[in-house]
Amino acid sequence: MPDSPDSHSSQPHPDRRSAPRDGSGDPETIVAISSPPGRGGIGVVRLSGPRAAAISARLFRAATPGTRDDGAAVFGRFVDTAGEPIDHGYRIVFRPPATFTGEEIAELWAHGSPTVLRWLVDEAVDCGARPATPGEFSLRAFLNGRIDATQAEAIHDLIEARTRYQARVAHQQVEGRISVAVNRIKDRLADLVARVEAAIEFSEEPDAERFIPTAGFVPEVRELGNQVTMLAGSYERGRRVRDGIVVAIIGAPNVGKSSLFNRLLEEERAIVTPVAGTTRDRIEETLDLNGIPVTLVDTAGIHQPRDPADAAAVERARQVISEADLLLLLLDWSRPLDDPQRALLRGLDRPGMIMVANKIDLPCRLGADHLAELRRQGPLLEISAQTGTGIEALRQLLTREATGGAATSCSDTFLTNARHRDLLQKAAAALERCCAATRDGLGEECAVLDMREALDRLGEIGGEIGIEGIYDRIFSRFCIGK
Amino acid sequence: METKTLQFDVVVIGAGHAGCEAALAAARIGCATALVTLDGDAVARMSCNPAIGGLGKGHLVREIDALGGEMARAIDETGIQFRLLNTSRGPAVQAPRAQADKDAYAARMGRVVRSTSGLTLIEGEAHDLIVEAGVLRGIRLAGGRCLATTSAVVTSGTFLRGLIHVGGASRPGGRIHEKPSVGLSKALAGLGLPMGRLKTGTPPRVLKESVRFDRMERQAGDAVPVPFSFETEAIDRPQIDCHITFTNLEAHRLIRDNLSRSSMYSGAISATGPRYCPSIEDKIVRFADRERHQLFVEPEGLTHPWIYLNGLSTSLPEEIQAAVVRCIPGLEEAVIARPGYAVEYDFVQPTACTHTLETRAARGLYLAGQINGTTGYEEAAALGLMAGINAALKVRGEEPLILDRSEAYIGVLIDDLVLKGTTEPYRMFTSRAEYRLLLDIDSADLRLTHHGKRVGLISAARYAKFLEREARIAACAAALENMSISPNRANVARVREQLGFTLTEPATPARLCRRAGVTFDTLRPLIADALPLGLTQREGAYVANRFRYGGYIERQERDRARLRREENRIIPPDFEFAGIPGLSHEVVEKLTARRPASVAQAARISGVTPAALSLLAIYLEKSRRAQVNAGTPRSHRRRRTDSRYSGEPADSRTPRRHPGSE
Repeated sequence: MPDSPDSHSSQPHPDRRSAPRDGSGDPETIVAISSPPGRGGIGVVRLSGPRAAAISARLFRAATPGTRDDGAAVFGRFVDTAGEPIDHGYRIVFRPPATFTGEEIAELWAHGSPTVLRWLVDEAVDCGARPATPGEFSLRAFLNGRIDATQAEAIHDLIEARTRYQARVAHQQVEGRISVAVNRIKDRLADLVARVEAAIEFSEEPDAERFIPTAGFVPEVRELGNQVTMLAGSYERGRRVRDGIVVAIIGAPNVGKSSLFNRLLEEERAIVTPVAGTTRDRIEETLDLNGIPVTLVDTAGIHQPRDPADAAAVERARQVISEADLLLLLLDWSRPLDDPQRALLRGLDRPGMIMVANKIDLPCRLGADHLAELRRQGPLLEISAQTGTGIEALRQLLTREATGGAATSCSDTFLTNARHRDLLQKAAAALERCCAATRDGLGEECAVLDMREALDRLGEIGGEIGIEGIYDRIFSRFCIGK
Repeated sequence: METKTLQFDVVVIGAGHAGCEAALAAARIGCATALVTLDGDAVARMSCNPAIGGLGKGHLVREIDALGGEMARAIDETGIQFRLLNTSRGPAVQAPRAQADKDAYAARMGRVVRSTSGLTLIEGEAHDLIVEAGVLRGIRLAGGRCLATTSAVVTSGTFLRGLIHVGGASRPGGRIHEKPSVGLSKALAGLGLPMGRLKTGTPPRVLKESVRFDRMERQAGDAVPVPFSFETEAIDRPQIDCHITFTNLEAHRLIRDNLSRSSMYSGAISATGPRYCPSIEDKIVRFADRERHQLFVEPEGLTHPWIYLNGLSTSLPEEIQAAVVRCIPGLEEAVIARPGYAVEYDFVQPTACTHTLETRAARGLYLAGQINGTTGYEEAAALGLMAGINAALKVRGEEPLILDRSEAYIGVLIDDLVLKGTTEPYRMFTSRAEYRLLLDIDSADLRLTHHGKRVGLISAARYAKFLEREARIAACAAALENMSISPNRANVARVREQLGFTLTEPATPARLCRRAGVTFDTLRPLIADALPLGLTQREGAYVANRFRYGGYIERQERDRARLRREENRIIPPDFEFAGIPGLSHEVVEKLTARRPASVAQAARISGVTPAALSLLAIYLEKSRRAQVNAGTPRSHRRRRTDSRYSGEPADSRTPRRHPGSE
C-alpha cells in the first residue's frame, strides 16, 4: 500500500514510524508549532514525550511560583536558555496516558507571532527536544493506541484544514462518516460473499438453492460497484474542499481586476491605481468563500507587452490561466468592447469561465448589440467593484462552482483522503472483474475471489471482515449442517 | 518395584485417524514406533458419520495421499458410495466424498498398522508424560510401565476427560461404552499448556431392518467413482444407495416440548460445539420457522445392521429420540440401536504448538487431531500425518516439513490453528484457503509428492510413476500452449463441429480453453496428435482447466510469490518483542506467546495491527543492522587491548546487542 503524498497513511515511511529513542531508551521528546501557520491572536508550541514537562519548564517562569503541573493553564513568562524574556503566556502540562499522543505533553500558549513561536521551538530544541516531522503527533497518538487509522488520517487533514469548512469535513471523517458510508457497502458485500461461499461449500444442503438469488449475484455486485465508484468519485469534490480552488481574474488593462480582487478580499492587498498595467506580477491571496478556501489570483493585464518586464508578467498571467480552476473574465461596462477584449473573449472560451461586467455604477457603453451577444455566450454577471453591487451574487456563483454544484451544508459525504480513493477504486475494479468473469462463464469460485478482494480493500478503510465474519453470517442465516 | 522400560524413537498415543497416520508415517520413515491405545480392537474407528471427504475435507484426503499417508487408500478400498461434489462448478471447488463400510475401514487400517514393520501396537493407557527441563523423556503408562522416547505424538480425540451426555445425564467416557483418559489431561495441564473444552454430538443409529427405504428419496452414487488416492486405478467394491427423508412439525413439537431434558438445553453442557454440525435441538430453536429439516439416511456398511441418521444429532433422552424418529417418513417402525449422544472433551489451545505441531512447553511432544481443537476424521488424519512426519524427522535430525498456505489445505489448517487458535471445533472449508484455485484435488500430488519423497513416505516405484504423470501434464500444457490451430478450411469445419463457433484467426488450444463451453473433451479431437502418450482424460481436463481459469491462476500465482517474500522475512527465534516501543501490551503478549517465525505469520495473528507490523519490520531491520555492525568495532569506550589479554578476538567479546534494545 503506497503512502500517498497527501495522506497520512497507516503504512508510514520507516523513519517516521520508528519513534526513535535517545540514549536513555525512551522515545525522544518532539516539539512543533501546533497552531495554524501565519499570524494569529494566539500561537501554540506543543511538546510531546517523556521530557515535555522538563524541557518546557526551562523555558517558563510562572508568575506565581510553586504552581503544580496538573493540566491547568499557568500564566508566566517565556524565557530563553539564558533566562532572557521572550514573551508572556500560558504553559499547560498534560500527564500521560490520557493525552492526545498518549505521552506527556506540554503546551506553550504565546502571542501568535511566527517569530516568537519559532524562537520558542528553537529554544526547546536547544534543551534536547527534536523538531517534529509532519504528522508526528498524530502518528504517536496512533502508535500509542489513542486513535485508529481512519482517525489518524482525518486528524492529519484537520491539522492542515485552513478554513472552517475543511475543519467540518475533517471532523465528519473523525466521526466516521466515510466509515459509515463504506461500512454500509461492505456489509451488503459481505452478505453476498456469505451467500456465494455457502453455495460453494454447502451444495449438499437443502437450503443450497436459496443461497444465491435466481437472478444471480451480478445485479447486486454491479449496484455495489456503482456505489463504490461514486464514493471514489466524490474525492474530486473532496479535493476541492480540501485543497480549495484557484480563481484567476483576467481581463484587459484597467477593467478593474485589482479592485475586484480587493473587494473580494475586503482588504487593500493589491495595489490599485488608475494607471493601466500597475499589477505587473500575479498576486495571490486565499479567502474564505463560504468556508471553501479560494486562492484568488490577480493577473497582470493581458495586453501587448511594452517592455521586457511586462512580457514576463504577461507570460506568467497565461500560466495562471492554464492552472486556474475558474476564470473570472472581467469586462468594462463603461467602455465599448474594443478589439483586445474581443480577442480575449474568443481566445479564452473554455469551461470554468465566468463573464463579469464591472463598473456598472457608470453608464453602460458596451452597446446593446454587444451586450446581447455576450449574454448569448453565457451568463453575464453585472457588478461594481467600486460600490460592491453584485459582489454577493458573484460570491455565491463562485461557491456553487467550487463545490461542483453541491450545497455546502456538509450534508453529503465526500472523500478527502487519496489513500481511501485508491482503495475504493481498487474495490470497484475488483467488482467489475467479478461481473466480467461471470459474463465469461467462469464459476462462482472466481467471482467470489474478486468480491473478497473488494471486501478486503473496503476493510482497509473501515475495519476488516475476515473469513470468520463470513462464517458468522452463513451460520446465523442459513440452517446448515447434517 | 522394578518396571521394564521399553525404548522407542517415536511414541504415538491414540489409534484414531490422527494416531494411525502419525504412527504409520513415523514407522515408514524408519523410526522404531509405538502406537499406544486403550483398546487394541478400536483402531481407526468412525465414531461419528460413516463417511470421508466433502468440500475441503476431500481436498485434505487427496493431500494426505500425495504425501504418502494412508487414509485415501483405506477409503478407496472400503468405500461403498462415491460422489464427486460440486461438479456443476469449477474444478477448484470439486471434491470427492464417500460412504465408508466403517467396520471394513477400521479393520483395513488395523491390518496395515499391525503389518507395518517397525510399528508396535501397545494396549494401555498413557497416564503421564515424563518431561525434564522442557524436554520430553518418556511416557508412563497406567500400571507404571514406561516407554522411553524423545518424540511423542498425542492424539487423544474425544477421550481427554471425556464426558458423555444423554438426556441430561452424563457419565465419563471417550466414546459410548469406552472409558476416558484422565491422567493424560492432568499431565498436559501440568506442563502449563492452555487447556480448553469442546463438545460434539452424534445422531441415533437405527436397525437397518426396521427402516422402510421405499418411503424415502433414493440418492445414488456416481456411476464412475472418482477415487481419493492417486494410486487407485478404479473402485471395484460394490456400491450402494443412500436415502433422504425429512423431519416434520410433529417431530419438531416433540423436540421443543422436551428441550429441558436435552443435555444441551438443560445447561449440562457448557462447551462449544461446531456451528456447522448443529444438533436437531439447535436447528429447531434457531430456525423455528422451518417446517422440515433434511436427513441423510446412510448405511454404516455393506452388511452392517445399523443405519446412521445424518442430520439428527441430539442429546435428548433415549425414549424421546425413539419417539422423534418414529414421526419421520420411513422410520415409523424404526428401532434405535444406539441413541445419539453428546461428548465433551479437553483440547489444548493450538497456539501452544509451533507449525510442526510440537508444543513449545515440552520439546519432543507433538499434538494432533481433536486435541488441536479440530473436528473431522480428515482434519485429524492430516494433522496426525504432519505430526508423525515431524516427530520422525526430529529424531533423524532432519529439517521439519512445514507446508505453506499457498501449497496445501494442510498448510492452511496448521497455520490457522497455531497462529489464530480456535474457540469452536475447527473444520476445513475451501473458503479458508486464499489460494483456492491453486489447491484443486488434481494438483495435490504435483504440489506435495516431492515433499513426501523427501521425507521418505513415497516409494521409488510410486515416485517414478508420479514423475511420468508430471511429465505427461507438462507435455500436455506445452502442447496446448504451443500448438497453433490455423483457420484453414478443414480446421474451421472441425472447430465449428466440435466447439460450436467460427475460427477466424490462428489460435492456440490454450487460448480456446478460455472460451465458455470449450472443454478438454470437445477440444481433444482437434489436438489428439499433439498430446503425450498415456495422457488420461482427467490429466487433460486438469491442464485445460488451468488455462480456463487463466488470469485468475496467474493472479493467485503472483499473490503466492508475494506471500513467499513475506514469509522469507524471518523473525529470529530469540527476538524480543517487548523491546519494541509503541507496541501495545496485548500485541507484545500475543507475539511472545505465538512466536511467529516470519512477518507474514505475525500479520495473520488476530489483533496484530498494520501499525504494529510496521514497527516490527522496522525493529527487525534495526536488529539485523545492529548484528551486522556488531562485526565492526564502533564503541570508542571499548579498549582495543582486550583481545591481547584474553586471547580472544575483540569482537567476540562484544556483548551481542539485544534486538530491539536501542
